[in-house]
Amino acid sequence: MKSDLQSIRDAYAEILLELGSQHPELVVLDADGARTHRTEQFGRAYPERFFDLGIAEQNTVAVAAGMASAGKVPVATMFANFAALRALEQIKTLISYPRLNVKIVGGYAGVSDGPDGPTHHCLMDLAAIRALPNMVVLTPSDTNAVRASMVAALRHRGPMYIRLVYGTFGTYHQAGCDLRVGRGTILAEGQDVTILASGPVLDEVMLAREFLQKSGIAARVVDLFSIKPLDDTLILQSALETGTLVTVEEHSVIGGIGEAVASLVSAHFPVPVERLGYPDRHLESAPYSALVDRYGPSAAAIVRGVERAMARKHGA
Amino acid sequence: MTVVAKDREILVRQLSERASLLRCHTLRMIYQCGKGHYGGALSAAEIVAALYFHELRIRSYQPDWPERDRFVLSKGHAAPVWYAALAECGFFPISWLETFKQMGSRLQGHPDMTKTPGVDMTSGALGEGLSAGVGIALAQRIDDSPSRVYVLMGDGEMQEGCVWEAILAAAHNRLGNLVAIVDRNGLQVDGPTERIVGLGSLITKFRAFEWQAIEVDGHDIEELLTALDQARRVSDRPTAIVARTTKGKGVSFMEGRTEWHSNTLDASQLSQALAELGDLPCEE
Repeated sequence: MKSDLQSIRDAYAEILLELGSQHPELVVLDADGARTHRTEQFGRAYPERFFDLGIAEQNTVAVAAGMASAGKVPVATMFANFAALRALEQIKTLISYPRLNVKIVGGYAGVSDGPDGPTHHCLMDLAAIRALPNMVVLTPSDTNAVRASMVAALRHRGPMYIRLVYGTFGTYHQAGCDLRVGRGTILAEGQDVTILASGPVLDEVMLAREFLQKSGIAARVVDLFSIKPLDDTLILQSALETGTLVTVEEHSVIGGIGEAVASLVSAHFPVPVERLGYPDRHLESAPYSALVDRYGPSAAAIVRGVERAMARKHGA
Repeated sequence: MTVVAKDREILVRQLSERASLLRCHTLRMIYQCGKGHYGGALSAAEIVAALYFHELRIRSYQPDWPERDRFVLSKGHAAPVWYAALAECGFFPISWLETFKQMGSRLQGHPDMTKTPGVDMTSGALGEGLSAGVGIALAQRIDDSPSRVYVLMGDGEMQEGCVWEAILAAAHNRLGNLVAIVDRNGLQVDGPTERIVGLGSLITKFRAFEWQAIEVDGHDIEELLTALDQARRVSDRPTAIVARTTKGKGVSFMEGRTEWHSNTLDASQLSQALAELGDLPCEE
């Protein structure tokens, strides 16, 4: 299942190049992040369809909207923090409201820009973007999911936010996998508890699962992938079959998948839900793994979360 | 007088009459829904008339004609004067104007491209229209299209930072197919622009940002047409037409008065205002 570690943004650059040759209407925009997000590779191959608009995210988002209104399919790549938060109102008014066919790709999401500190961490973008009508939100978890998310983006006509947590992670999806808007994937079976994961948290999740297995807890692992729309059926089915859910995400516990899942099951099939993510606070500069260990859903935190969920399930 | 000069004189007179007609529509539309943005719609009437009844290459019978010129109303609160022009051009029945801002209407308070025929870009959150115009102009360039983009901006919205991001991007990309028209009426909600956060000489600023910049009397059709011609002659830079206007133009008690940015008319005021504009009938 897990193969050698692979870089999320290298996968992103590769799939952009590939899609560029298949989709002449595809244009790529960046905001002085062409080197950071590797979009420069697309720019070299298709200079007439690549625009670096400088350190100006609000303009970049609005330019993308204008292009989409004229028939292009813009993929606007920016730091997630500045796309989803600084340019949020442009996304709302010019993309979400008129349902324009713009794909916003938010790079360095979560704490993947760890050492740059809270100014560059992005733990509240899902809370903001999820609330916008018409938006599809995808959180690919590995390099194959990144490729699948961009294929899905080009297949779907309408606004989309694709959240990329940069780094090198294990690979859990098959190469060439076909991931769909509104569909999650069961990556490992189990009947005691379901871990619902979003983004590249699977290394920690799988480590926790292995540990839990030794103490006799069989955890199902679902990669949600599509945060909006959620795979309601798969989530409710997992609630029914395993009796409790643990959500794991690289996002604040406010407004992320934990709340989305809790709100879904509370309406249809209430089971205990443990929400694992980042606390409601601004963090600090540190290497990525140190931030995950200290504040985030590390394997140890996931084990504790699952144990709490199991205890609640059994009425303890 | 030559034939050409005579034709031009007739054109200018016709466009001027159109502007008055758009003003009458605007007054009736806002009056029927109670309250609205009179001042900034009235100040833009000649600009909109010059664009919609002369300059723009558009087809009301084929609103999605791929080769059409594009118009973005960045100062979206002036929507009534635009809707009036679209109706008079035949994009939709004039009777729709009565539904402005009502539940279920295709005519929203600010322009909605998904609802209104002839509206190509949703707008009205101030400071964003020029950026959208830059995107359209870039897309037209990729397609090697002869189409052009016209963005009508308010002067007050130039206090938004995003506008200056767009001004930089348009010049950097040498968007000769982009024209920004600034309705320089000098007033915003809280008072004169120069008292709130002064914009100074927009001509100087646009030129410093490497645009072609032309200043005109925004109620003088001849000057507007000449500036639009001049814009088309320059292909390596975007053009800004800074149109000096009077907010509330055409209605004596509204002209130059901040409180008519958004306000309510009573029936006698409406009669007086329409009378001042020649009380042009608005039937089909």
